[in-house]
Amino acid sequence: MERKLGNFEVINSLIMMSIADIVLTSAGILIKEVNSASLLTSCLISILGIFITFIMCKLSKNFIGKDILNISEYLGGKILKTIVGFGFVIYFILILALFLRQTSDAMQLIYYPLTHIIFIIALLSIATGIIANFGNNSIFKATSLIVPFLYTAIFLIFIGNTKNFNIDNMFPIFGNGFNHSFIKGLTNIFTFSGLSYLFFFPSKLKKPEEITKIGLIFSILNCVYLIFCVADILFLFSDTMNHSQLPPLYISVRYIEFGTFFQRMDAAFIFLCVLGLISALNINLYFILEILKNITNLSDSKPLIFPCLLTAFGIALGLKQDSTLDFLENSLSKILFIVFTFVVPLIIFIGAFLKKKFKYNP
Amino acid sequence: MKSVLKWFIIIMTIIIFLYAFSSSYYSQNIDHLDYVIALGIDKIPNSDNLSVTFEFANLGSFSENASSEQTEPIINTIIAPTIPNALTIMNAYIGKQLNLSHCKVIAFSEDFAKTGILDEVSFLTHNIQIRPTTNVVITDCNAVDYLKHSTSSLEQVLTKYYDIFPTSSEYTGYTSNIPLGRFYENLLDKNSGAVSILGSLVENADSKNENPSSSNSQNPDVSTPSKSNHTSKSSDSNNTSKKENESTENTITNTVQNTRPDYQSFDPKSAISEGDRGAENMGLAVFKDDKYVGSLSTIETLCYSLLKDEVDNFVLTITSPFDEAEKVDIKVGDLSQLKTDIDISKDAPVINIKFNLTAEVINVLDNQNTPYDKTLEKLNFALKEYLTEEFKSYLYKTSREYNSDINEFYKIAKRKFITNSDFSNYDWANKYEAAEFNVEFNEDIITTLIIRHEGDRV
Repeated sequence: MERKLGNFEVINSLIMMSIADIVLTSAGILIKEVNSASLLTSCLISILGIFITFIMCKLSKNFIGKDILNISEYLGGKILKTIVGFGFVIYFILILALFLRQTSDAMQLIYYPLTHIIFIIALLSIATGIIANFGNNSIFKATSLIVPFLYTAIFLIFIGNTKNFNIDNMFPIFGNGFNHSFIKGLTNIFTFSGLSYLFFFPSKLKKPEEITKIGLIFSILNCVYLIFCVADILFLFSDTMNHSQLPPLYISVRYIEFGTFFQRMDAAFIFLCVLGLISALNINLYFILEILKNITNLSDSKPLIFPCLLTAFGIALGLKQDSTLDFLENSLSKILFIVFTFVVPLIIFIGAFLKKKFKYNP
Repeated sequence: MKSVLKWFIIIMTIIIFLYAFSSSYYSQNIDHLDYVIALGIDKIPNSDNLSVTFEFANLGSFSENASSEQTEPIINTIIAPTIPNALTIMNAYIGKQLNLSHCKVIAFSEDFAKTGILDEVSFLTHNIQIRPTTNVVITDCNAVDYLKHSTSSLEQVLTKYYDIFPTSSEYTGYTSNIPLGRFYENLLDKNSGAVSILGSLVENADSKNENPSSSNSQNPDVSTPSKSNHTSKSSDSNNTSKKENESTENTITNTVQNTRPDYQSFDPKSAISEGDRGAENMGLAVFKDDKYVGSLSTIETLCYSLLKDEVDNFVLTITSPFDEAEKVDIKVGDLSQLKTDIDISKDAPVINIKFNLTAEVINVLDNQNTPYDKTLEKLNFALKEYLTEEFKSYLYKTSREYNSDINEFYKIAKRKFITNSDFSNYDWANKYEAAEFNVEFNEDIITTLIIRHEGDRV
């Protein structure tokens, strides 16, 4: 019997998934796409994100303690549950592979220039596999320990860079135009990537009835992190550094110097990020295993750890060209996020709600 | 059997990873690295090649047995078509791997900067080892000579000197802290111009820091100290021979008597200091697109720093309004951030700048006849007139002469546009050349002064 999770652990896990995505890709993509309007777009995305989370949490309240797979089983039987489950497994494996590749690329560039990428990806995969063997207890407790540090780091980065800021980088306020900034820009709601995992948590919560509270706290914390992150990059160098192979937030940390004594903040930031990214990889793997366990009725998911990691390892290794990686980051993962985080859960929730409401009760 | 197999797999995995990561560990081991503290990049005349000079930290000076005397830096030069190629050749030449993570200064020669340096700056900015806070210097001589003469007996550790020299901008305004990251952003921006620190050799630099052991240059063409466009090189032979006889105790830089009426408007290319250092950093180099177009004098640099709100306080010397033969020293500080408003309704942008300054006269004035408030009024008027003239001269120089918006007024103008395309249609980059400037100051800048009366003398 697995230990039930507290609200603090769940919020931290959701935040961790969003932070990993914001630090590695989405903040850079947002600024690249909407330019000087990125702060305004971030605010708009935040409002929309909070609103959608609230609606979804309210809908899921009709099925307290049930995760999205249970609800889809209620709606369409085992077939729908299997289809939805496999859809999410494919989506999460793709995210796992992307995280593996991006983290390994950054580590190779910064610390291991002469080590082949295959060994770095393998090392991260094995580390993820070993942690997964210890079960959810270690994963969620470690995440709860790391996230407050990562969260504090963004405020320190922002404060440390204040003297280098140019607030005028946020003008013209509508960036590349109203449509570009607000209609197309809204697709950047994938900065709420932690939301994809929220509806797998209800069955694992100590207090499943508090899912709305968890969802709202997560959304608000996610917004604050996103806005600080985007503001830091935008005020510091706008999209000038977007051509770099390194995440823009990491480059912004390299600008920070607290006098002549504290000058290399980037080393501490990288250390925190690597710990956080390993946590994110583990949370992702944990849900892949849980979904597979649920749809295949396996009693123990441990034998699936290394096959799943091997698949992600293979995909990560296959993303050799920058153009492929760009396509996955900028286009495919955005579409998949919108489909699996908003469209599929919303259809399932509304369908299940209607079924429950109009169910014939003799 | 299962346990043995498990341990075998674990041990094999560890061995494989140890082997895989050992190459990176070996190459980045502190014993196998040579730390570059400054880079100098020159263009070889009539050739496509670059002369890339590496200044290394002399690690012996950090050891316990090191003497308190200043150790000479190690300078090596490589001729190569590109910087990455020069790095590769230098790696092979020195037998250790170069590490640029402690590089504090990147110097480009003026002649090279005139041809455009975007490719080189772009490579250096994206190099993972070079930090965006590294200072960029454009030298009016060969970069290799600038590096050779950039030593100071007042600071034993050269890396520390490179680290702190731009901070003088905060209390003099005669130079500015220009980090590589900001320089690169401005080079890429077609609306703004870029600036960098201007490095020069002092009058008799040839006689300073001549150290054969440090001159490992492989290129005789660029190792000969020479000032491009500079005619007064080592002209003071008496002074040079006198210095040869003196010991190294002469360490404090002395300002040389300048015959010009207002020495703050001196051309930074004509060095005015002499001392143990052969190089100085005063003034700024101005870029349009990625090409060097000209320089700013120290007073112009002060104007730039004030407009960028980078200087805390500074000292100005103006001609006394009471006696033209007298000078008045005024310490000026910033009361609050300046207000800039740009009118874009006309064909050419009209830039209105309003300063809020505070000042005190730091020398005691000998004035018996004029009342205190009248003296204050006259001094305020003289200071405002002086500042207005200098600012206008500086601003029109950046627009009319250089067509380079180095103070990034366009960012303020952008506030008035809704979208980027609207701003692009306005064509700021070309309209800045015709910009008009209005400079205003607060009513009473000078608030304190001391007047010596006849009765005060004993």
